[in-house]
Amino acid sequence: MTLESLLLAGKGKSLTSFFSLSYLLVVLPFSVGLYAITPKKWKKYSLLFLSYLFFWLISGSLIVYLFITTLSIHYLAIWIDRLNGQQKLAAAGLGKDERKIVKQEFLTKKRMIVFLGVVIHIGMILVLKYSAFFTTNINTIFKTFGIGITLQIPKYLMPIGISFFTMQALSYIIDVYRGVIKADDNLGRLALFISFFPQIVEGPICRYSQTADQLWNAKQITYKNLSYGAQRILYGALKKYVVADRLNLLVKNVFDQKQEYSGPIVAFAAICYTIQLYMDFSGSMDAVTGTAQIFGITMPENFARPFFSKTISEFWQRWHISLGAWFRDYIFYPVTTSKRMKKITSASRKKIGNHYGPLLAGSVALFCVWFSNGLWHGSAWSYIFFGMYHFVLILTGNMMGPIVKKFNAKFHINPQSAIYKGLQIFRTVILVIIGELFFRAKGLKAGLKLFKKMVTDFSLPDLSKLELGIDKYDLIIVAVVLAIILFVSILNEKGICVRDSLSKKPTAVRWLVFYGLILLIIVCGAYGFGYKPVDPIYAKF
Amino acid sequence: MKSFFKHALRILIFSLILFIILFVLSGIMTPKSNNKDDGMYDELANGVLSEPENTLDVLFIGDSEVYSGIMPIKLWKYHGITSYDCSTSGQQLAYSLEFLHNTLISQSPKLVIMETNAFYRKLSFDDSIIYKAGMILPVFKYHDRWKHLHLNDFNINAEIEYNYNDTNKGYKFVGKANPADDSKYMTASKNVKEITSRNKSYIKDIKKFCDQNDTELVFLSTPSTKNWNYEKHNGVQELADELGVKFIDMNTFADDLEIDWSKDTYDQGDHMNYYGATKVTNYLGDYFEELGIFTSHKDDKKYSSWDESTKKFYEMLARHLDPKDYED
Repeated sequence: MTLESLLLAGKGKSLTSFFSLSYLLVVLPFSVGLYAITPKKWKKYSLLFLSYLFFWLISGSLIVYLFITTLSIHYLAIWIDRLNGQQKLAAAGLGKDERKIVKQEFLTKKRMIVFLGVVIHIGMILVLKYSAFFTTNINTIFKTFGIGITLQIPKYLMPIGISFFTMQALSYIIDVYRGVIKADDNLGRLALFISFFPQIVEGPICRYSQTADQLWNAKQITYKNLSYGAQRILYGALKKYVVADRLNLLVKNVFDQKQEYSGPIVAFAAICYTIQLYMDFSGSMDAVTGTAQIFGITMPENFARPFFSKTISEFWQRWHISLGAWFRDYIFYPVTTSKRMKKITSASRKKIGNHYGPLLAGSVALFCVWFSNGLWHGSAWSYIFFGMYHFVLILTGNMMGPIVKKFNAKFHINPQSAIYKGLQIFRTVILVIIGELFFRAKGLKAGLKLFKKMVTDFSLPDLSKLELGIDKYDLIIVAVVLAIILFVSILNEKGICVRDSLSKKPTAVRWLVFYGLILLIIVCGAYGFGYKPVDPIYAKF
Repeated sequence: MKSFFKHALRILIFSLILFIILFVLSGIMTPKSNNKDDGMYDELANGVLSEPENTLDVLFIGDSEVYSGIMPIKLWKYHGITSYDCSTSGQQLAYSLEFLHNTLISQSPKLVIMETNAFYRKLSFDDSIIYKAGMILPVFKYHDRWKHLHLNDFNINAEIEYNYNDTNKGYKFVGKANPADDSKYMTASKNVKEITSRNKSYIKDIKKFCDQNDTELVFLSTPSTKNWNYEKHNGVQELADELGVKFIDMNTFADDLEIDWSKDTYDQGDHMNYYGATKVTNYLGDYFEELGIFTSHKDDKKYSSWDESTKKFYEMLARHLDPKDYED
């Protein structure tokens, strides 16, 4: 018997779903229990222990990557901090010009350290996640040009959550370099910030300033946090069990089977997949936020009613917020504010005006963001296409802004009217659904084929002969739950916290709501003995 | 501390009310017959519940290897022994135990023969919890029935009617052949494939339950090139020795059974087809005769329905096969 099998390393893959019973009935109660009985000053260590235990269970020996990330980022950041101290000493008593030279010298050194950090971490991801994709494409090029070389396609085991914890780690070191935060000399605090167990599988991608101190200054568990956290997890379970997993069969049948479906069915499946993805991912985020709340930690929200967005640009500020913010802060801004881009912007401002002038540099940055965004989701051309699709949509939106404004003014169209806003939302939703069709399809070719079907084949199928794995009862229950979620979303959009409002209601009303939600999940949820649960979609990224 | 108890009491009352609601819902969701139309899962296997009280000599439990490989009607026709295939596709051991519990309420078989393929089927933690929850509160098992509830389902005190019976006694006929590659089949090995501790625990529960009901448990592995190997044989043999259970591994003497892998399987060695099942069933019939613990019920009028089932079984064979393939 190996040490691994003794310690259950990597045996807890089902824990990647926060709605698995092993998580809800074992890991979560154990974690809460251990945390609750640990004396206050040791609570932070119990959280750190639980986080590493969790990662050990889901990733086994691949935990070594988490160690590499944590240790390297910790020491590189301290190195930058020391250079800052040395810079101050070196510059003390010097004249302005000499200070400038010293500053430049140290800046170069610090840049080299950040570069080293980026190379280590992005390199690790490139090798583990993308080497097979790159090698396959190189082989295709060789074949196309008749070069008789075939490279062996490498296969590596990738730890779950690497895309998420690496981005957190990089944001930390870049923020230290920028002087936004100071390097943390406490390895434990940094390790907990990177590894906190609810967030390591699917995010959100937190900043050091958002969660590190909260986690380290661990609080007592309160009844309010316990109850609010449990309610949030329950809400997520409703999304996952009753909507996302129930729609999965239909989505799988249309997207994964060889059978061809007519356009209306493809369109319906694309709508269902968009709903499934939102319910799956935002449901998981509810579980993450709820779990964190039980420990008294406020996680940043990753979704803000994205389907109320009026433009694609706005959609990405409301969908997977932490990823968008990461790309904005660590790719978009550095590109647009680079010296070369600033020059281009100021030159083009003079030639093509204040709106279109900055667009050139902005578009280059936008391209980098969306290329990275596509590739971040997976090593396939369909993901790159997905990124480029949104790049083109946002770019078009930026270009068309003044034209639409003029058009509206000329034809006396009020952009503030409810109908106008409703149409904007409708248009955005349609564009998002088309993007998700490519995102879900098994490869770019399959995506294009499905898209062609959707826009050219309008034949209505014989519904009585269709076997999509879903019946009218499933659709009714999905519609009912979506109506509940829409109602909650409208209240949230108006700034009303539903849990706060509910807590002010009489016990009977509150309990009625909770029993209703629990029974909806138990009776109408997609689960059962021998049922293979659907893996959380974002855990594979 | 006062507020702690207040909150704990609140959680307790909340849970208690939830339990009562789920209990009532369980009464509603539980199928009111063993008929598929009334929501019963695995109708063929659950057909065993409609067999008249204490009329079964042998009970076969296990996964698809059982319903593909063992024909109770032939055991009746040639030996006068009554048996039933309580088998379901991908059967988990927890489910095997449930079948045993449900069946032994009204039956007292002398032998329970358990196919061993399921011994190596992993049972996830989630599945084992859902299974146990379903045993206590059937709403967890039959929750999907919300789509097809009838008015009488709301009568939670209604007796469950066991009115569905399968004339093939759980056996599923497949006549086609799809040859298997048996070049690596049962290569000798001393290695042992471990049975998971969770599965071992279920097998021990099954053994204990059989002992309590004065029923002998026998392990059986029907021929399969795809599912079986010597490592698994060794693993089951070890457990059989530990529990004092007889283990018949047909894979170790498939040649003696004259299994022809080019003709006797319908899915490249995974399962027996009708021809393979005939050989397996013939062997079992001879084995039961050798045991000498069964008396033929052929002349007992109480078992006349078995002759009717036999007639229907052979009519079914006649629709699919040449007479030379099924006539004596």
